[in-house]
Amino acid sequence: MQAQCPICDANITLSNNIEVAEIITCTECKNRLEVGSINQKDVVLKEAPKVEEDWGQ
Amino acid sequence: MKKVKIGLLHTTIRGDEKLLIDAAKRRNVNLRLVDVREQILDPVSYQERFDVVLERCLSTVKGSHAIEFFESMRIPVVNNLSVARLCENKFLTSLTLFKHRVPTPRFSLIFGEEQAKAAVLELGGYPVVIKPVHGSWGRLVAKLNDAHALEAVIEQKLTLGGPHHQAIYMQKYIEKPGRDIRVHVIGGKVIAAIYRKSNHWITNTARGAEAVPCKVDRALKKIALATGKAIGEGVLGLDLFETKNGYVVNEVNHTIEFKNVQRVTGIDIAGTILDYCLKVAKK
Repeated sequence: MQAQCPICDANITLSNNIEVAEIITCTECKNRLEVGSINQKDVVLKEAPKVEEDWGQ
Repeated sequence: MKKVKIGLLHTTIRGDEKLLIDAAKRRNVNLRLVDVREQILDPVSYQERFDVVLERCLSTVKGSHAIEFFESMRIPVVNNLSVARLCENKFLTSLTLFKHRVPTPRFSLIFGEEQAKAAVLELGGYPVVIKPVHGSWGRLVAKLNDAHALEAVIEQKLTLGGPHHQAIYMQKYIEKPGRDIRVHVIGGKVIAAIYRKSNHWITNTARGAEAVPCKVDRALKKIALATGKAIGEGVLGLDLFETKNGYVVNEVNHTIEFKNVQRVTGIDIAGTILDYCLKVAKK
């Protein structure tokens, strides 16, 4: 599957088992992106949320 | 036979959640992904029902509120609110371990600089470690080697931090052999353990520590089970130190990140978590 980076416009190839809300890294600009929606082969990416104070274990 | 419906509460999806999704495909379960950021937790209008809910939010605040909501809807949650409450607050975790006589480093909670200086003496002197009561991934954790460092850090916390940073959790510093131990206790059973090796005194894998399989000996099993009993049954990640007097439990985590443990041990942690959820659903 292909998607476009919302920050640098690069075309990114994604694996077939990606999930909505999954975090990926743009291969070009290295920014962290979140999968916003998947509609058949149409994948929309958005900027990933910044790390917050209460994240993680 | 009707499939058990599991609601997997999440914010962003990590590698750990993908392992859970894969494990669900290998079982006769209906796993529904529920992004809590998109939910309206209104007890009157919330329609969807689950046999059990698995809380996997990256955000502790969002996760805790979601647990409160689904438990109020009489839906069993893994982990339940009691376990989550005890684990998300380091002071409460330590008090619980102390109360149940589970070996843990000496600790105290203070609210001001003079009390902090006196507390250091009570703990046996420098170095000491201070941590946010609510915190993770080793962030804002400081090892203080002397009074000058203590004064500087306390002043900064009290001046720059929000109200929750005014509660200062202090712990005796434990010298480690370049590693600590993460043990997963699921449903009252010890499932897997790893060493987290690092040259840095902070040994979180999120901070670059290397995960290496760890054999669970009798003493490790005993303290892990005692910790699980003290905190409550659920899906737990225990952080332990090795000392010359035996193991001590440093912290207990309730929304465990397990992909590194699964990768290096080959133990199906995701499957074990789902099987435990199925057990909870049938209770």
